[in-house]
Amino acid sequence: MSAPNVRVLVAVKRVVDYAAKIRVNSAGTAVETAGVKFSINPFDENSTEAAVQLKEKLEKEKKKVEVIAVSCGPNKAQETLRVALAMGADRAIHVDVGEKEELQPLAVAKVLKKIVEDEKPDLVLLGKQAIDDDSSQTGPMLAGLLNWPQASFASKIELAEADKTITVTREIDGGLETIKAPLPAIVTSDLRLNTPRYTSLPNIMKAKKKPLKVIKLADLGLDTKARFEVLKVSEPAKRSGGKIVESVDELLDKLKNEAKVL
Amino acid sequence: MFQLLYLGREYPAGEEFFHKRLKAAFQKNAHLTDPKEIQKRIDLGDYVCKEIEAMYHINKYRAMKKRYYEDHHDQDLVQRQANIQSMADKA
Repeated sequence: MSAPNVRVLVAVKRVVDYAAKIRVNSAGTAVETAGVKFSINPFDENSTEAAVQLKEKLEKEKKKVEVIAVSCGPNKAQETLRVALAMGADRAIHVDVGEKEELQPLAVAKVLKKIVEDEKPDLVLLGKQAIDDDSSQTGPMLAGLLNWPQASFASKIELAEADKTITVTREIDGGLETIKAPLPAIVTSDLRLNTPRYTSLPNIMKAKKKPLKVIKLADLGLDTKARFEVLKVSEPAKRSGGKIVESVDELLDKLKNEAKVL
Repeated sequence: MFQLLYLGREYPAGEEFFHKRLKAAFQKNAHLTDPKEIQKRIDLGDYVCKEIEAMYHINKYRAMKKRYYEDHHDQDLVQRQANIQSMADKA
């Protein structure tokens, strides 16, 4: 196969499913993960969809696009990669970090930098944040490490293959910002970027045959030590029940005497 | 049919609930022999598949929006602010 015109790297993370009930573990240091459903991070789903749409669009113009999905995590992260493959990615890379270790954003950014140096993509797509730790750091840190232009919170991506630039519309407070950057670039996707496709069963079967490369974290020779320590994880305060008052007088009385706001 | 079974795995009311309904829906039409009629039911099945996919997507989208977006990110609100601004400019 000849070299693709555009190569896109999509980073995906395996997170606790958005619909799962979240409980704090007994030590109060993390979220309980045993017996909880996991799935692909919703924002990473957006970025995978964006990559696949780009591929479909450029392939109509007879251009080759290769979409590579990458995930850092335990063995189970491969399930997440299979989802990305079923959505339309061409191949996947799993960076095996073992069962115990949890990588922090900087460490993930370092790993991704290494992958980027090996694979030489024109575009790296990430979700704007993961719904488990909500750091929203990996994309910007990767851009920093590589010294590449970045566009975070993208709600629209247009890639001009001919002059190797990308135009991204970003969602910022109270409006939209459109920026243009030369490739290679980093883009992190926002919720409204697109509607991720639902994987069909035949595609999932096909995804099982797509190539998936496993790299051991230790073999990359990177310093991925934790740089900060999670001291405490706690649940939000429970909402105390409201009261229905019978009359305006009663409301006034309660505001004065119970809530003491008047 | 398998796609429907597969979709059922994520059904909010539970997979079992979905499977019972699904089986009942298939059995209701088990007596059909006319190929045209059968095709009609298959098309209906495909339609239901799409509906369920759309429902899952909107569920997820709403959950994300509720969790991560304040009102000021809302497109409607942005539009409304722009409208107010343009009215103010005219006045």
